[in-house]
Amino acid sequence: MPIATDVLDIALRVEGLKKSFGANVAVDDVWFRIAKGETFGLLGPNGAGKTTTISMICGLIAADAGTVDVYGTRIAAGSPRGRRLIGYVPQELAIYPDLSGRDNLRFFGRLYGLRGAEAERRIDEVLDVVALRDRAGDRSEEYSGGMKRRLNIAAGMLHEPRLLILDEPTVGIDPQSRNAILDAVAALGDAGLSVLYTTHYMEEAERLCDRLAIMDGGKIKATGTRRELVSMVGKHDVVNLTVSRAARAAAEGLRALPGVRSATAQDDRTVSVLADGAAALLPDIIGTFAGTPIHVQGVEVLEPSLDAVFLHLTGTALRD
Amino acid sequence: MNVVVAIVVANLRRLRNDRTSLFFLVIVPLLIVYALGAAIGGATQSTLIGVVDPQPTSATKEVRTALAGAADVRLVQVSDAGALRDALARRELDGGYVVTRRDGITTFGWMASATSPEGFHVAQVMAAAVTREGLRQRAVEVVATGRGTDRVSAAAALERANAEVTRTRVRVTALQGAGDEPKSVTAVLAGGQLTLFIFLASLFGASNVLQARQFGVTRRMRAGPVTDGLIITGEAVSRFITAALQALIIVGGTVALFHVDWGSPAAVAALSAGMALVGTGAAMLLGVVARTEQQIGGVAMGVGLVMAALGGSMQPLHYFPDAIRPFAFITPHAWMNDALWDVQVNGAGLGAVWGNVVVLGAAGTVLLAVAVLAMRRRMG
Repeated sequence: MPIATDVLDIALRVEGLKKSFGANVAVDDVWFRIAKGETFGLLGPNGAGKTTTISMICGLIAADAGTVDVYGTRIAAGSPRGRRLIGYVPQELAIYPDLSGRDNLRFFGRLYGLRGAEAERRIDEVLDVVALRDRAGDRSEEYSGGMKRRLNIAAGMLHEPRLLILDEPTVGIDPQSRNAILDAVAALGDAGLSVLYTTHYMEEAERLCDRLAIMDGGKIKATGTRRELVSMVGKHDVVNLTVSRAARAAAEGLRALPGVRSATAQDDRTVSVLADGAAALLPDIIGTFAGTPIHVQGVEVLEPSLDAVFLHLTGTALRD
Repeated sequence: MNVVVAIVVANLRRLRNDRTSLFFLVIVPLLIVYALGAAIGGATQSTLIGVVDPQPTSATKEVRTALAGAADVRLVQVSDAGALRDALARRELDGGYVVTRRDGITTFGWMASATSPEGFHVAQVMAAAVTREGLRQRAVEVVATGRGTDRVSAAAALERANAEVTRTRVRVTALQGAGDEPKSVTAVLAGGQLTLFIFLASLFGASNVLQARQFGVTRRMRAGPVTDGLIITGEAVSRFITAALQALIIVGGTVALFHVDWGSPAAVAALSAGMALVGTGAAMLLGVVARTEQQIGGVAMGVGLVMAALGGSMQPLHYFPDAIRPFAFITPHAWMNDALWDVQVNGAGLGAVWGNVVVLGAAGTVLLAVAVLAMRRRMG
């Protein structure tokens, strides 16, 4: 983990961010830092407050409280100061469908002052990164979903930002395109770009991020490397049980079992159990249902993972 | 400045890529001007006048000669009043008259469509000829009575007297191009279409404002080193350029294809710019308020056509009933069309219509200010 001390070694410093919409507290006292060259993941389910946090970081909406600094420059809503340092890739596509990929990039490049030969050079470079150069002249409405996503990312990194912010860039696309995007983001991270990556896909966070913050209900629940986060759970394993019925009643029964730290019904037929030494405990877990109308139809034992961390911290599993 | 240029260039590229918009921007206005001009009568067509005069007299022949001498008038003999009425209803004729005699009084009954500028013009020529012939006959009467001679001798004496004073006689001619009548019907129609299409093209352009929001492009722009003011300015300048482009296409196209004489270029340019500003304000406001492109299409078509009809784009304001005409000036279209009539028909320059330009500019500025406030509120 890079340890940032000098202000210019800190790509992003978020301190005490708060935002409410009426009675709904969307972001509640959020603090974190991203070091220069670090890829930082903001992991949480839909509605956790990730996009609102990013909107405040980019200056799109004003925070009720708290500050955002990018490489020492204070970011504020309504002021363009410091925005050039940030490359923003929004969750929704933000491109003109009736313009070609290249014309879209020319437009966004010009907003950042890129013109002429320099603009064309950068456009070619980012098109190569997202593997779209051969289709650059086609209208973006003719692209597949994955290609549009890649163009969306290209537009965010065109002006060579020092901090790239990607808000769930892989939502709703096929696995092949997702892999291409993850490879591109990983390459940017390897090249030394600071990246803030939000997702609710556990495997993306594990694959890309140097450090992670787990967010739920507008709050940061924990921050650290994957190893640090997993160690919070200790040597506990997650056992996912598929039962014939009444998962809630099954969870209640399991909570009384020695060694079970938590048991939660994820839906009508799935129970997630956090347990010490699950392999040894498995006969007792299954035996709990003997003589009851609940039958165990499937068992899955998971090694400690971010899933287990999330379950441990929030009491619910992180899902798509 | 870079930001405004970027937004304008992107919007123009989008316009270039949208063949449907290009069709409505370039082809449709010119087609309508051509179709209306061809249907109602263009500058190069003769005005056809039907004549019902079963027993011509020297007096009626004089009127006929005066009419035939008027530019671009062709007289057609018609059997009776009923046939003349039918021919007018079928628009085979622009006007006509029926000569009747009763108790020694010759009456010229004029018939024409209420919306026919040519018919109105010929009626004026005919009225002048009838007046002149009436005066001549009264003079013959005076001479015959005063000298105690017959009318033929009196008429001959009057002709001789006329010959001696011809140098000072008054000549009645049609005041084409210098008075209240249009040089060409097509020119007046093109003027109305210019007003209509500048406004209509602007309103349909509201889709771009809405799309920038819906596509997420506005949000992305706002994450960059860009102020809200620059984004709004870029969109507004794009709308203004599109409206101005529409004006240029109609004026340039009608000059090149139909040889329309628009009058003072400075006046037409200033009026078009004023109307483009009105369209820009309306488009920006519609783009902010509307939630779907269908809403924009419906409002643009409805509001655009109703205001065009009320504002004199479909029928010249000069043919509006007096009771309705003042209400037309609720619309910016009427201020534009009224001034265009002066420019095209009376040869007025920018100095004569600057008041209308100011009214258009003020209306556009107010609309734009309201739109900007609404946009800022939505963005905030």
